[in-house]
Amino acid sequence: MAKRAEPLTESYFYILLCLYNGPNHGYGIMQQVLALSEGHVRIGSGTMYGAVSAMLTRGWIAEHLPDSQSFERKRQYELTDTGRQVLEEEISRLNHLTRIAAAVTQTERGEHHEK
Amino acid sequence: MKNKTTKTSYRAYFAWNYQKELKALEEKSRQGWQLVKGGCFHSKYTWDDGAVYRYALDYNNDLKPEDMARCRETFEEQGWEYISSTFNGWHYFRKQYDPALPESAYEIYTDDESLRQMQDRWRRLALTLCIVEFIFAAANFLVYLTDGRNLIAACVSLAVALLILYGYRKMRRGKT
Repeated sequence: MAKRAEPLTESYFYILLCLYNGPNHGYGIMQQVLALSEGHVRIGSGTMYGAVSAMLTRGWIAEHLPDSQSFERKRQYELTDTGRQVLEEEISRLNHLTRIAAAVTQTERGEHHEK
Repeated sequence: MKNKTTKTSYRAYFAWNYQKELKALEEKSRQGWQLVKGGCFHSKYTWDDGAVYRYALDYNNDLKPEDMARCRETFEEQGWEYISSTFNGWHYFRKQYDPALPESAYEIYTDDESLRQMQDRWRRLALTLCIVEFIFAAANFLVYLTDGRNLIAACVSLAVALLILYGYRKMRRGKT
């Protein structure tokens, strides 16, 4: 089981999410994050490089070598099994949090209606 | 009359004032002077009033050649052009200014966590240097007390240590 002490930052979460369905390069990840977040989240170069370096070190992502048939020349990254596990655990954690929040706020709304 | 097409500036900036240096570079760019080589104590510019650039400074003093290649690629993918690096780990980049782009397009650190990590890299180096200078100062004061020598060296080491300590506290963590 992957060891992770704390929640992922938004940048880490989005980068792992963008690699979930296959390898991508840095610019592709940045564009996909913008699209997924409807323009709200932009990952700058310094943030991207730092996050990618850290995740490479932790073994969450790996550099993907395009095959000789591919026209892609940019450096690409792919999710490792460890990275996939980290992402899925984070999604599970976030889902748990939103369920708790929904339960609490619906309960409070219910109480307010009664008053 | 021969017009100058290159110039050198000897203005020094402290590491904790790197954002002040960026503002100065942007102002020079608006005036037509474009940075071609950045440095701690002197910078070189070339005349080109055909474009205005925004600059970015990144601190990372631990980059192996393959890491530097990946760093440059990551920046270039987002439209940044690598200019130069200093001996102590500051990397200069520039991007052509487009008024149609939002300000966020010129920020290289877009979350607090990654900005703090960059600042912490410098703070760790500063703390090490500060401790070394305090040790030098103490050793030289000891020599002065026993032998009457090295007072100036002791005072200089102490002043440098205090300056670095000031910078360590000044390098804010997170967005300023």
